[in-house]
Amino acid sequence: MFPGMMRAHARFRRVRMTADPAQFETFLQQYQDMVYATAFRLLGREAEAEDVSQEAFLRAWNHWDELAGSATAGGWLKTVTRNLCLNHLERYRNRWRFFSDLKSSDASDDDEGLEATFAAPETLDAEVLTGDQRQLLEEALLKLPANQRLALVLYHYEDLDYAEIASRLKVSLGKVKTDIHRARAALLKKLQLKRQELGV
Amino acid sequence: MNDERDQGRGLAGRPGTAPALRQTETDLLAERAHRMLRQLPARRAPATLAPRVMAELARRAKLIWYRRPWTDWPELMRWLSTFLLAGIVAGTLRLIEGGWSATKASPSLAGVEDVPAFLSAAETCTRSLLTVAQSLPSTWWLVGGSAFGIIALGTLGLGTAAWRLVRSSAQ
Repeated sequence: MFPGMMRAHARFRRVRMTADPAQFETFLQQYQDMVYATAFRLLGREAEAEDVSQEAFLRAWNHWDELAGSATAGGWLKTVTRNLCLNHLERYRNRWRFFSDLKSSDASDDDEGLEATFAAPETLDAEVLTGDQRQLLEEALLKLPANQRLALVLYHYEDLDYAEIASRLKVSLGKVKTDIHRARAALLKKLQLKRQELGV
Repeated sequence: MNDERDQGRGLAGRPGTAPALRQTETDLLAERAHRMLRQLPARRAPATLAPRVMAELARRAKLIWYRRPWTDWPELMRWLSTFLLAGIVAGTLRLIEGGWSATKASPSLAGVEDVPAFLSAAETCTRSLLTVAQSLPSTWWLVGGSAFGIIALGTLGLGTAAWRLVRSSAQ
């Protein structure tokens, strides 16, 4: 315990003596888009994403002696942001789990029959999205149920595998796979419907 | 997309799999979704984020030492506070130990001068409450407990409904 305390104390003293606000501000400007984008994808709300982003940078300041000039600073920041978001969602979920589960079970019924109506894969090639489609996709992503969006974002943007996602979200592996599959199907169905409306 | 992350799910990643085997629809869906999602532009941070962070750092730097987190206190103050806290804890434990020994030694509280007054009063109150509780019919306990449970659940439910209504209207 004492060696750990001594190291923490030495680290604290170095931060006080060597931290340069101007250098930190440059660091902040460099990574703020990445941090905010990560937080927004996971939380789905601008205000909460900004709060979490601020907290991530404040923690970076506390560890500035390790991060200044480090090549791994970006990865460290992304991991901290992700963990802060998951902790935030965990607190939110623990408070209202009972009532949220009642609502999410109703929401999942909307996805019944989705796979049956999904177009054959051969009809959805060469998908370069137009500006409108990107906007539609982003809106659809934000409107997904929180459990589906979270699992989808952790898989496709944070590059976690199913087991890691299940561990972080404290749910079963099967639920993660189901949520991700339904989320993908819902997003692609929305795009397909939009194309049909436009006659593309 | 790294198919190795989905070990055991599809056929495509297994060693020794014949190239002629078709990917499952699930794998195709995954690839398609991944390509589309990666085309979404990342959100830019709001212009207020950087000033907020720097303002918060400046605010924390200006705080007087005892308003900061304990780990940010001057070294001397941290040592003094640690010793002070240890002394308070040790003194409290000693006091409790002394009071407990005194009450155990005396069978009756009347006329015992070395029992702390607050322990005497606490024991008297507890005995009185237990006497009252034991005299109540069990039906009263059942009805009262049920009523309390219903009120508590109802309050929780109303609060949850109101909160969800506020959040849904805010979205």
